[in-house]
Amino acid sequence: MAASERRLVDDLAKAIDGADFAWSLVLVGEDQRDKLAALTSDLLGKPSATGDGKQITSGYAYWGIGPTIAWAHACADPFYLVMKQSLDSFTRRWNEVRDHVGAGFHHVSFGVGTGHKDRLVLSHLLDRHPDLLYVPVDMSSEMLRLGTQQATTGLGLRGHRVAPVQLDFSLRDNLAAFRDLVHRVVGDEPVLYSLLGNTLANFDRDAELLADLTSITRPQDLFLLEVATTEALSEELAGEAVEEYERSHAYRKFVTSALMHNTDLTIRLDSVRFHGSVEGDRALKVKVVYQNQTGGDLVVMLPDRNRVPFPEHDTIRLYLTRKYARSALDRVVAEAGMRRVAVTHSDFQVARSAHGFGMDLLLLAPGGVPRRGDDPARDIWEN
Amino acid sequence: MTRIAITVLTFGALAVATALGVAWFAVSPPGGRWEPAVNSLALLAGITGIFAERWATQREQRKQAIESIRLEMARNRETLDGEAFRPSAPPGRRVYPRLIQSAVDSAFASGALTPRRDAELIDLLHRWRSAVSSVNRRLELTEMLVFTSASTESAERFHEALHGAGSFMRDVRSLLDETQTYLDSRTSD
Ligand SMILES: C[S@@+](CC[C@H](N)C(=O)[O-])C[C@H]1O[C@@H](n2cnc3c(N)ncnc32)[C@H](O)[C@@H]1O
Repeated sequence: MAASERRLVDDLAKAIDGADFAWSLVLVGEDQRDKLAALTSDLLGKPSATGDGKQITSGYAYWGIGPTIAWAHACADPFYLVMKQSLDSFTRRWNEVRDHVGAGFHHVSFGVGTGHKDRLVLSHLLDRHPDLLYVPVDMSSEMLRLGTQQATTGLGLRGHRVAPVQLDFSLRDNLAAFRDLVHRVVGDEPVLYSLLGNTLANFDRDAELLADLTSITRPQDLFLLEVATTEALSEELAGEAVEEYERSHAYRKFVTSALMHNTDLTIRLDSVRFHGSVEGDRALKVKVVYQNQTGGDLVVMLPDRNRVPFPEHDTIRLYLTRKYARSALDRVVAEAGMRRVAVTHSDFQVARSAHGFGMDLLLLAPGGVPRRGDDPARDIWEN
Repeated sequence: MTRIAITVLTFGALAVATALGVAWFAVSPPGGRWEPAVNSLALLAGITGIFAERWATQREQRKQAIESIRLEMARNRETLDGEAFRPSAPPGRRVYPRLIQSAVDSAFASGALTPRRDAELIDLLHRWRSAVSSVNRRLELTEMLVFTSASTESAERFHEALHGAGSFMRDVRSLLDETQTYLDSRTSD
């Protein structure tokens, strides 16, 4: 780097750190017009009464200021159990695994959300590495701004050590570019990556996504994964999982906010439908769809003025989520080429859900199943 | 030494007495044969009686030994099916109940089982004994490590390892199944 370039970066860092204004330096990884085109093409799917045609994929559900605000509201809704419980119990669960994270870690957070959890993680890491770099990654620039502020304000992390990245991390090419960026910036120093809040469950190809995300870890890195879990799998439990989401009004508002923002549909909250099912031996799956129940065919206009027919009974899948079978977690992790270093579990302490729904926080390290000799429990009990 | 001497003396005397009784019968005049005949038969009854008594005692001992082994196995089954060893039990610090083997031990010590008749059962019970002591030792180690570790995660790991697919407990359970089935099939004799 030439001296003049270094000066520019230095000056910029000083200007940001010294100003009273809440500047943030954001790295934008993608052309947002491409994103809009992708959203449009997802909404051009064939008619389906079960949410298998048109869809809003994860990322787009949070994209823009409307969904961002709706998400923040939903997270604060006591009826939206998964997030409420996830936020409430995160402190305890994080405290239980954090001692496995040594000193000197930087932090990369995939999907900041409201930033509450990143804040806890950062404050622990900062104690052991005051000069750490925090890289929140999110597809939504508004979410990035909101989450990053919540995560960092008052922590004593200097402005230029925060590098938000606007990027769709579900695309492999994006991840490859992102990996190079991170590795160049941190050198050989270890990084704690995180994917929290059951974000993994929102993707159709979740196993592949996890494998892609964890593939950027090096032996010195760690990966923090949080997922919603269930003790058992059955159609009945899938029904109960559906109920859990159905209850929250704020959640309905959130899932429909992307439609509201990106189409001219008049949204009716009672047209939001939930479908629960068992996904093999690994998870309970909940699909949230918006169904045309107006009694007639509609035409929906998209932000690029494209018109999409939305016939009666047709659906748009708004959201996908899962509760993973706890017994399948090890396999999911192993398939992603990781092994767990520590895990904590918290049950939902609600009388209505006495069926073993909860959240698991897993600290993972690259490198598959622990060798014999690393784990006394297995050494003792495996014959 | 003295036992053998006494046995030899007893059976020797009985044999000689029988031989004399037979000879006496042979040389007696036809009218005086009642006495040697009664004498010889009484001796014969005495000899067979000793063996019959021995045989009955041994049979009784064996029956009792097998019965108490059967009870012990049922107890062990209850323990393994009990709350502590259920995969659904909440993982956490706990003292596990132990498997017992005193009936098996005393059956071996008393010699109630004979290799001639019970070869298969003896083999099963030997395997079972070593499995039981192994389980108990592993439980001890588990408790020690779980109780001395500060994190609850360690308890979870042990819980999972104990119930895992490759867990030693599986073999123990199937060995118990095998032993119980064998004992049940032996109820008739
Ligand atoms: C379920 S929220 C979790 C938020 C937070 N980590 C928590 O635990 O509270 C998912 C977050 O991931 C972001 N996200 C979802 N899909 C994404 C994608 N494909 N690329 C980038 N960000 C994405 C969303 O914008 C949102 O902030």
